[in-house]
Amino acid sequence: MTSSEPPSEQAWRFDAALATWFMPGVGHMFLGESRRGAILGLTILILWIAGFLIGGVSVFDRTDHPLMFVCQVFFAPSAVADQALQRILKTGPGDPLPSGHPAYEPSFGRVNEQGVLYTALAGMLNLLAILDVIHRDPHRRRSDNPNVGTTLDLAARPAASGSGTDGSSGSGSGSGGGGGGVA
Amino acid sequence: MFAAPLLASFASLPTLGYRPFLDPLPLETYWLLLMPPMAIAIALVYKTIKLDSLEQLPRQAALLAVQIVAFMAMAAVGLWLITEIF
Repeated sequence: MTSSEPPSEQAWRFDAALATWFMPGVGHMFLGESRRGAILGLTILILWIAGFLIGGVSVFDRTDHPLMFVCQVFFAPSAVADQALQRILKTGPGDPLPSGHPAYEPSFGRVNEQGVLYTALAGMLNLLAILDVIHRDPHRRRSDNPNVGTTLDLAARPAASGSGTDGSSGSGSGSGGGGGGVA
Repeated sequence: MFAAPLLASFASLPTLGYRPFLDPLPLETYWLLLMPPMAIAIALVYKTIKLDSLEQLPRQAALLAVQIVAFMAMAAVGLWLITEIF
């Protein structure tokens, strides 16, 4: 019954995915899901910053742990931090700056593991958010959007709900306000 | 009266101050405490994406976080038993 629905307005949202790569949750906000985007953004950002704080800048070292860096880089600021480490801070392995203070202190052991794990996990969770936002149907799954089921939502929707031959899909999308809570 | 231990604790501090994001935090002995926040973050993000309605989010995320921690603990106990037996 869902095959009769034309996939009219559900498009690949590469712009939202790109925005999510730079800042988690922004892509969902583009699609009108502010609350969902805020929760995603805050959670992933806190996780990433916590990992950064725990292990220091040395957790973003693509030469030290390239596979984990692949996970980390799904959140764009990780690449920026790695570039800062490689080009600015890492004049040599452990080389001190002229002031006598080391540019950064590399982390070891459990602290390094936890920092890498936190930041890599933030990247992987952001990948989940990117995959979710890239092909998210803003009308099918949302029930927390105040516009769903209202006249604004119905007016914005093309003939998909009107041309629904089957009553189930038509009523399911048309009564999104009432049925959305159930779905 | 309290000056001597206080001074002794100050003397044991490193001469360089902690620089956020450049130096690691001294959490070597507390690494296990960092696991539950990670489980909570995983559960929160997964359920935020998965759920249609966010009304159920706190309950569902808490349930999933508890499940993750419980299964990690069970896996740890299982692995510990294997290392003890064999």
